[in-house]
This record gives sequence, structure tokens and C-alpha cells, in this order.
Amino acid sequence: MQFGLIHELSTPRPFTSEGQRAVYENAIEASVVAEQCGFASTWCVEHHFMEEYSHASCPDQFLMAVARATTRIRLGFGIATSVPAIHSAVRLAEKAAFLDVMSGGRVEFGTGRSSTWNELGGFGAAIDDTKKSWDEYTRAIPKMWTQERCSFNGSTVKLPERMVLPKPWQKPHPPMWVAVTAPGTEIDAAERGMGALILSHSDVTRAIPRFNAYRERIKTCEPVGAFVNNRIATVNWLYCHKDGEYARRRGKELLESFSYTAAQTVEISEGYPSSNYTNIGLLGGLRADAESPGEKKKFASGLCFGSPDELFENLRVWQDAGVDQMIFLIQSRELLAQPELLESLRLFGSKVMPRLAEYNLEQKREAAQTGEAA
Amino acid sequence: MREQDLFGGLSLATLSAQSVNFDELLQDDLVFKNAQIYYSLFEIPLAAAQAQLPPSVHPSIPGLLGITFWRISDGPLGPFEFAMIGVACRTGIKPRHLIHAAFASTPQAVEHLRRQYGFPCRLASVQLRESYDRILGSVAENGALILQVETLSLLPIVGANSFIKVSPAITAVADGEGVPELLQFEASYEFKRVLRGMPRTPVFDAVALNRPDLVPVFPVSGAHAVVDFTIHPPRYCLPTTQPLERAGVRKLNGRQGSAA
Repeated sequence: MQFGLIHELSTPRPFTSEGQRAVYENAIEASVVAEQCGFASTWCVEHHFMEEYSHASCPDQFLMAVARATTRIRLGFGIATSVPAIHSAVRLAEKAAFLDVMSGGRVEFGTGRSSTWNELGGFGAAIDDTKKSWDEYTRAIPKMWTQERCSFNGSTVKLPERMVLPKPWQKPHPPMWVAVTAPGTEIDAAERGMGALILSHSDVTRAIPRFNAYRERIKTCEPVGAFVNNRIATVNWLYCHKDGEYARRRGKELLESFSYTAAQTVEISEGYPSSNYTNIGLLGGLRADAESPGEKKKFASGLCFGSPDELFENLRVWQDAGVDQMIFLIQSRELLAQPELLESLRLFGSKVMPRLAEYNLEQKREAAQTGEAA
Repeated sequence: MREQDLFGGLSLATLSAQSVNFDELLQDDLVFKNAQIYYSLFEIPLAAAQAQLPPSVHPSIPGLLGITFWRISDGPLGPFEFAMIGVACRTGIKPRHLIHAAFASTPQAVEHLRRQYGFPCRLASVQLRESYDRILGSVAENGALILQVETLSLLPIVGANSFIKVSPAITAVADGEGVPELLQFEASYEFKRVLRGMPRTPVFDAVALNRPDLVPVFPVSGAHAVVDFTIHPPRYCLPTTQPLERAGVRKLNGRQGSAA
């Protein structure tokens, strides 16, 4: 199992230019340290109009800054919003390819369609059509990357023959992913041969059936791109400290801060009955299901707040369940001081990741021996 | 919770003025079969939303105004029609609407909804009608039309998504000591048919609706449903002067609504 970070670029009030820049610079520094610690990827969300929760309106620019400060870590769009009112498909293809070239081939291309009234209403998007546009984008963009000249005549993507430039560094093109929040979307990912970027936090026992369904369906997929990206990435939280109790206390603070900012947004399903938004998305999903306003929040059991030993045990289970990459949220509204956040990453990198790698090797050796004996 | 977090700024005096004496705690569900609900949402400026909410709760972002009509043909209160106007807020996790004006078409409904749910309900001519091309809700009080909401070009919402996620209402009630509280209750729905379109308000008399500064600005959606629905008994009283996260809630227990 590999590890990554995902940045919301959550920003505390009062909003100032200096404070905003500090959020961005701190996240870049965290990505640099993550690379030093052996993390495989750093992702950036795309959100608009999300006060405090996420000031990540231009993820390609953030990732470009990370690219110039690092040499190896992969750079994930988490996700590129595939809605015409927000981006044209051509612009997304161009931005991803541009970053891929400038980073020497390090882009992971996540796709999705947004789930909030804040965003879709703010851009005047055709909410009933977002699934259709997302589907067309995932089919059109790989053509723009791989064909010298490309034309596409869909209902939301209309491109007369043009050479979309630049072409990506990676050949045939960057790996493609789908943001998965609502149950069943992992099947949409599998059908298209795309990686499942599972954003909804869950305990592992609830997640395993979804992983299995994905693995089964992707065997007979019809890939939208030039290859199948058969991978499962799951978003989780991380705060690692030698004192597990302290880590959980800080983790609870992070979750409460995150929930507060997420709770104020207006999910599509809350404001706009629609045939293509059954469930609330990541933000709404992260709201605890509390009957009473004072009821303590119920958080998923698999979250990574704890000591190195505790996190090893927790992540071993996720690894055994078949997760290829665990992507961590690490900050909310700058709640953690930057030295504390970096120390958490370094502790995780030095005490947990090597043990998991060793455990993985042991598992493979045992499997090989079992195979030989059989 | 941080000091910079967004809270409401409604004065206690204003909230007290609309508070309803709440002295009977309902024990049983209120069930309405084959009812009609018309639920429309409009964006309002965030500052306006904050100005209509007490300091204990957070506004939604963006600010939202909700207008809801019921048409009840049968049930324990007899046939009646009802309208309520509220501002979206977060009392923690779930989105809710603080109701600042409500109207019912029969004295029995007015009395019941005031005393047992805390709705600031007044007797008025309330109508929810479905015609060949639109859903129309209206409220006339003392012969004057004070609210009219309509949605045209409705589309059916079908399949598993055929539902409206109606934000539960909260109401302001008097606790006997002059400090109002917020009464929270839940409802559950079994939808039979859902239509959705874009609403507009040909008539919106903000003064008559108890909030002179509140005007719907940007339509979000208007949805009409045929539904069986159940309003459950109130279970919690929320504070109004202190942030909910700090002050906690009061669980209602027994007929007198005493603290648990």
C-alpha cells in the first residue's frame, strides 16, 4: 500500500492575504516533507465558494508549485470538476497535460462532478446533466491527450478537429480516477477502467464489499482511456504522535473543525431534488448522523489518529482489504501548527511506513510459499 | 468551535416576540396520509440570514429561505392547509429551518401547531393548488394576499431519487422565564410522487411575514410531492443565547417538557 496526502487548503477566518498564502505555503512544505518521508503522492481538491472548508479553486496551480519543489512525488487532481459551467473538457486536458510535462510525468488525473449547491448553483451549472458531462469528459479527454488531432461531438463536449496542446509527458497518458462518494460510483469507475478514489470515510468492514465489487467489475471493463487503472485509493485522516491518546484528542479536534466547515455547505440533495444526486457527497457524508444536536459525533473506526503502533495495526487491515493507496487529510483551518503537522508526517514515515512495507513483503513471501507448497 | 465561527445575530427581544408558549408535550406522532407538500428554497444574503438567527446556531452558506406549504385532506386535525417560512441554519449537523412565520387555515390546526410544536401560527386563508402548468401556494390574511409562491415547468423526479430532503423545522418557544428556547422535532416521509422546477414569489409581503428585511433573492428549487408524512413529538429544546456546542441541549421528558 502506498500513501499520499490530499490538501483541502482549508483556511481559517479572518481571511487575509497573508493568511491565505501561509495556508498554501504550508501545504507545499508538507508535500515536500511527505516526499522526503516516502509518500507516493500529493493530491489537491478542487472547490469553489467553500468558505473556510476549502480555498482550493486552482488545484493545477497548487500542484505546479509542488512540482517545482519536488522531484518524485506524484501530483493528483482530486478532482478535476467535469462540469461545463466550471471547466471545458479541453481546458482540463490542457491543464493536466501542461502539469504532466512540467513535472516530468507525475500527474494522476482524478475526475468528478461536484455535489454542492454552493458550487453548481454558483456557476449556474445544469445540475441534472452533471453525470452525463462527467461521462463525456472521461471519454473525450484521453482522446485529446493521445490523438494528434482530435474531434468530439457529444452533448456537452463539442470539439471540431483541433490539436489539443501540450500532450502529456506520460505515455499514453496520466492514470485516470473517479471520485467515489455515493455507493455504486465505484462501479462507474470500474466500468470505465478508472481508478476508484474513494472519498467517503468508512470503517473497513463496510468498505470491503465496495472494493470487491470494483475488482470484480473492472475485469470486464471497457476503458475510456488507453489503459486500465485498476487501483483503489481511499481517503482517510492522519495524525501520528507517540502518545496515542494525545493523537486521538488532536484528531477529534481536526474532525470537529472539518465537520463544522462542511456542515454549513448546502448539498445538492438538500436543496435541489434531482435524479442524479441520490446521496449527499463527501461533505454531507462526513456530517455525523446525529438525531440530537448535542449528540456526540460518531466517527468511522478506521481513521488514522494514534501512535505508530496503533496506526500500523489499523493500516494493516486496510492493506489486507486491498487498498492500493491511502490518501490522508492532515489539516483543517490550520488547527495544527506547522511543526506539529510535519512531525506527524515524519513519525509516520519513519515508524509506520517501513513496518507496513516489511509486512507487505512478508505477506507476499507467505503467499509465494503457499503457492509453491500447493 | 472558534470565536470567528459564524453565528446568528438575532436579538433576544425579536425572538421573544415570536415565541409561542409551549406547555403541552405531544406523546404521539402526527400522521398525514396522501398529503401534498410544496417546498421551495431561495438564496438570501448571508448577512440577512445571520440577522434572522439567534446566536446559538450557525447559518447555512449560502443563506437560504425556505417556504413550505402543506395540503392535508385527512388526519387527526381534519382537513387544513398550512404554510411556514423559515431561515436555514445548522444546529449542529443537520440542516434545519428556524420558522419565523406560519399560517393555517383552520382554528384547530392553528391551536394544535402552536401549542404542541411551537409554530408561530396565525389563522389565514392558505391554499396549495396544482394546476395543469404550475404549483401555486398562497396566503391571504384579513383579505390581503401576503404570500404567493409558484413553480412552473415542473419535471418529475423518478426512481430511487424521487424524494425531497425537507429540512426539519425548529420553532421558538417560551420557557416561562422570558428566555426563549428552540424546539426541535423530526419528521419522516414516504414520497409517492415528486415534481421539481424553479420557483418565484409574485407576492412576498415581508412585513406581514414577520421579517421586514427578509426578501428571497435567488431561486434554488421548488418541489411538490404527494406524500404520507409523520411529524414526531418534540424531543429537544435548544438554547438561544449561547452557542449550541457550548451550552448543550435540553432533552424533553414527559408531558411538561421537563429537563432530563
